Amino acid sequence: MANTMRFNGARLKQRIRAIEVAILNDFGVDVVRAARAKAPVRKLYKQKRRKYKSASSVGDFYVKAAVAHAERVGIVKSASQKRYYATQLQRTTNLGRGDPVVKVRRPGNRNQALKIGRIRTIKMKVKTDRGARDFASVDRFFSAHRVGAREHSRGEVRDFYNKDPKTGFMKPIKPQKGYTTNERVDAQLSSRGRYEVRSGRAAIEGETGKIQIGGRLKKSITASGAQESTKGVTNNIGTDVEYAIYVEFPTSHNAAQPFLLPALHEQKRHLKPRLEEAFRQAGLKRG
Amino acid sequence: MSITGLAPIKQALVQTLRSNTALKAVLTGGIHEGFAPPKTAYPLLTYSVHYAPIDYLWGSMMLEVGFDVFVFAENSVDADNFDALVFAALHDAELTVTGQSTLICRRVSSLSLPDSNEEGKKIYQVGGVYQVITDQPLPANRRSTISADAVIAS
Repeated sequence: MANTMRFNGARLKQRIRAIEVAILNDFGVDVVRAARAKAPVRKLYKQKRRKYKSASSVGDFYVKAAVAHAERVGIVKSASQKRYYATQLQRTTNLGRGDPVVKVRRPGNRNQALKIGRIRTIKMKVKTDRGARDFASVDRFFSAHRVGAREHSRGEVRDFYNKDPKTGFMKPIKPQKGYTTNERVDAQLSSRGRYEVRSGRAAIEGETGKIQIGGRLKKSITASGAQESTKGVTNNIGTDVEYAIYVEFPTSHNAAQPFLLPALHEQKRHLKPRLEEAFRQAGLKRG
Repeated sequence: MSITGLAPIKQALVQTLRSNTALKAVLTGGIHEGFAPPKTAYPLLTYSVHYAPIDYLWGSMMLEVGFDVFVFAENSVDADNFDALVFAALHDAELTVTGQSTLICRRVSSLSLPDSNEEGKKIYQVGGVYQVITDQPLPANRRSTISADAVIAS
């Protein structure tokens, strides 16, 4: 009597599918871990402060004069604010060729500067004993419409103001309410970080229910889990953050900071050997 | 013989783009790596490395490099046309890479993104990811060899 063996195709297919689902789930976890390691995070916390170094003693003199002027008009009040203000000043330019200009660099991007007329430059005229370049008095502040721009218009000091389209008058902008933090956290945040928390952009709910500041893109990278479909077994890995595509690919303003595709290609080469090993252990592969 | 990495592949790709006369004539803003400086005239082209994993085989090393190549233009028709020129120049191109053999150079994905310039004017960004796969032999002292002697006792 010949031995006969029934071949159950459906059961075999089920076993293969189960292995594929398990391996693809593990693959998704590895890709998510690698992508989260590569995803960029905005610097919302204070960095180590750089000491200001002037290119020359004359530059030091103008920086000190600009800081003294800022203290007189009330922009800086405490010693720590004076130190911070001094680090934000570039060295003087056009020495000996015209009016010295001390540029004030404030954090914020160009679009923000266009919307909110922040103080960008100080034009200084300071009395010195250097002969023909003596100037008589300290001039006023000038507001500028671009980062690093020189004198644009004469006028009053403007900060956090916007022009009302109906009346034409300047009215103060009130910061939007978002998440509020305590003093201890505020002390660690940079000014950009405090703005993003105030407006609700940076603060996201953590897994334990605590407010997490920063890292929204990193946290949003997830895998849907392996699912059977008509095409086979698929696992969707990605992020639902609306600006993720502008981080992954370059734009006209910024270079790309890819995180998803490099992680996928790094882990992809391990997929086939893992599948083969799993099939071999399950007794489904010859050899 | 020494192993070469990503740099010769990038040089070959850029050389192919820069030597294309049709692209040179239409891209008044030039070709830039990463991103273009502010106030660069449109249209322009940017390229950057997106991913570059390396596979080591027994006697050779395979590089699989993905390049983002995007065209920026002020109207959508121009952007699509210039992207077609880039596609014609790079898809299935035979790149001359120093020390490596180019196996494949092809476009693996396309992307079209709206964008705006410094003045808020709309800019059209069209392009995609080009994958270049190269192969190079490993030096003799790094190759792995396996030998086995079998003695059959009679």
